[in-house]
Amino acid sequence: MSLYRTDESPMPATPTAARQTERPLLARVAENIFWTARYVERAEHLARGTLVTTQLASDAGDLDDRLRDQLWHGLLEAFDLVEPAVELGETLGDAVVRFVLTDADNPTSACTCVARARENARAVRGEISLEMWQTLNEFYWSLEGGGRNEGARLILAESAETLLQHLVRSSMHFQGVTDQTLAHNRRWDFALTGRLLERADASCRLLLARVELLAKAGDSLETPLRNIQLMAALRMCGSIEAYRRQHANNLSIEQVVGFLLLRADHPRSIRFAIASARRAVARIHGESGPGLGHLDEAERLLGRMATRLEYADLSEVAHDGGRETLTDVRRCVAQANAALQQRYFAG
Amino acid sequence: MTTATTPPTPTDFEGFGGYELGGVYDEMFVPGQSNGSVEPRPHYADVHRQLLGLDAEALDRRRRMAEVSFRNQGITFTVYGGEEAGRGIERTLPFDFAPRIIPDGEWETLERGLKQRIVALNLFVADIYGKQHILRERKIPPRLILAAKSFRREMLGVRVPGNCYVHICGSDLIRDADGYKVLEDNCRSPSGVSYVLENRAVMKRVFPSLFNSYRVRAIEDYPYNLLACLRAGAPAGVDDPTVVVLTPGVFNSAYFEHTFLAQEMGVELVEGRDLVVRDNFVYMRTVAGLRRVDVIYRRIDDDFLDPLCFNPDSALGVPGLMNAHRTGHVAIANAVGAGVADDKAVYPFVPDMIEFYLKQEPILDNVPTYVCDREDDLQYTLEHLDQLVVKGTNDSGGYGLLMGHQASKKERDAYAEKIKADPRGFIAQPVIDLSQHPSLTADGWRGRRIDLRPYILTSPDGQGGFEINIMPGGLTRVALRKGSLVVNSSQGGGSKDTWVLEDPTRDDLPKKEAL
Repeated sequence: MSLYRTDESPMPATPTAARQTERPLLARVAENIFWTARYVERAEHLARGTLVTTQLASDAGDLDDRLRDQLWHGLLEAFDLVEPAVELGETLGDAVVRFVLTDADNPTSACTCVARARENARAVRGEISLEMWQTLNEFYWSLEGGGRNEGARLILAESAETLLQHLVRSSMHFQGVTDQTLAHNRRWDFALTGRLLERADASCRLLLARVELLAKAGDSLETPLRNIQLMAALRMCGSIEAYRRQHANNLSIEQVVGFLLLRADHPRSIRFAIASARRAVARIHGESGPGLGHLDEAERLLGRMATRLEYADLSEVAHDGGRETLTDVRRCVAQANAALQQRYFAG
Repeated sequence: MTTATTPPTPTDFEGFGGYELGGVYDEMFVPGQSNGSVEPRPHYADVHRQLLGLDAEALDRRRRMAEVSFRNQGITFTVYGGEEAGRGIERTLPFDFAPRIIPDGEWETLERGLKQRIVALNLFVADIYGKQHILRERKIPPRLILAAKSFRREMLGVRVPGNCYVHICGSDLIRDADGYKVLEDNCRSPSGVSYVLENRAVMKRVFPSLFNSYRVRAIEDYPYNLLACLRAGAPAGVDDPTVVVLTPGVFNSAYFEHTFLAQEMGVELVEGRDLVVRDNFVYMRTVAGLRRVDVIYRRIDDDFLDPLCFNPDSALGVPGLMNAHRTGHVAIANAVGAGVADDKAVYPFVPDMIEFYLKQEPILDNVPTYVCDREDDLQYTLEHLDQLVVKGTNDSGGYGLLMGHQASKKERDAYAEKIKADPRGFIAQPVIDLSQHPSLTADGWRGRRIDLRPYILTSPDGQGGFEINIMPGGLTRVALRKGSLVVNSSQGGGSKDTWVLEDPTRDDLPKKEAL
């Protein structure tokens, strides 16, 4: 046979069973979209966690330095961050806020997350909507300014509150734009999955930190302070209002943990995130062709956790402050992420 | 990453006061009646009048609108060698909004000349990887070709669909007092077309009245033409080819353009790691498994395409791609080895190619060129370094140039040593007085040197010939520094919208009203 193909020799069929009419979705593109959404969501949680900690610290201000420092350490631990160097004339709180929000060398700072989200989006800017790209690009430049997060540092120098609100709102803006401009097909489902897995994970981190703090303080903590901590947990997860509507003034650790973990209709609850992520993963699996067969591993992991949360008994979940369940959710998210990586992103 | 600061904005000036022709060909103006005054050429009269009506503040407002629009859309390119090692600096291409206008008659000649040239270049490449008639007949010294880095031995005897090698070409044209000349042909991956389209979009938004006062030929169909061109070049027997754009990735200086073109054509933008070769067919990795690819519009140099064949360290390419190309299972645009046609040392022979293959007189002139590989030319070059522009035959983008008349004695001596060490590596050309065009500068309107890069699409016409489509206009690049003759974006150049006017007597053009 000749090395060179003649016109008569047949072309082989595409190896997948179904030759799709829909545009193909590159494995790398799916991965970039997934991480764009995850990083934006992470920036939002970092910002919200910091915002609430700032408020807590000012409440605790005239009480106890040690307690205040504990709050900041709690925030760092929640996101597995080491304590930043405190500069002259700075409080620990100032240093943490600077480090968590605007530090260009901190791979987990909010600004770094936005920059990473933008890098991921830039690599697929033809695959996402123009509005998504422009929203994220403008968000990025508002922080980056003339270089090394100059924009964010300038806003921070004016007021931490303004920067925090800017981060939270811009993140939500991007998510709204995503939902309203990107066709709800596999691309969107990957974005949704990234967003929800991050939300579940970050909520668990923040909630666990509160639970640990309360456990450490034990009975020495007076009720008002205990209540403030519980409200902080709700605020950090963007759920204070929804909780009030449901439980009025009944503030207990069981109720708070139960609400954040098990609520079915609240978009910020962990159950909601896991169940929605499961549906998104199931759609991706369904649309990616029957040729692949079997139940999808990520779908199985998320489905099992969703069912556990759906049928959980409040007292069962809350007996240890939710620690066991929260830890299991985090493990589930990590495993689901790895399963997606292997199944879809590795190509 | 940082963006460069915007060029200084004029604060106070009046009209075209202080504008100087400086003894070079000016695209907009001719000398006026009174001493030192200028008058617009007829086809610039409307633009001139409207620009006169705008004060510094109004112009500055528009400039900022354009700037923000480019940055927010991420229309940027990356410059290397800046302070941030490895990353490069992200910049917007400075947009200079006095449009360049080319009357229809002038364009018609350019179009004919470019068509003639691109046909000859394609025939030349096919010949070089085929029977090599032009070398056998000694019209071009064989050594010059066979020793060229751009010559790809691996392509000898390979047949590409329709014998089309150079699908997308961007020839750089310049103009001096004698008229247009071709400065070079870019037969590998000419970039910049996305700026042409974006410049036009911004111009329409920022200056609607200016735009509407002319009948400017549309360029917006370029992506459709590009896709049609790529599809026409697919391997025979593939009736619905899958086309992809292959990019080196997000850190490439032209990344924006790669994503822009893929998006506008509605095809996938892939990186090397997204592709895999099985049994000499190319597939892309999707979330639903592998999918065959028929045509690759590559924006990666030959050297990095296939680590098995060329640079083994390249992480950008696709192992096995060359075999898929050689067996005809995948079309690559431009074909591997097409760069032999735009080698700077081959350029002086393009007029000979036109005569050899087409038996025609060249319509467009070349710039006189000394090929240092020839003994006489080398001698001349070394003796006249202070009057010549010397270029490395393997350099592009304005890197590694010697502007003899502006360089110091020390710089010239150092450069002479480089030439002597590797004569094949250099060519020299007289300094061409590029035409100038008004640009908005810190001092108001001033003449700045420009060139023109039209984009030429070539595909097999199915009958053994070529179908050629040239975008009306192209990228006008501007040397924004006073007196500078280097227009490359990497060297601080900007760009402007280019208008080819409609000929009301031609009926093969779409009418504006109909669009």
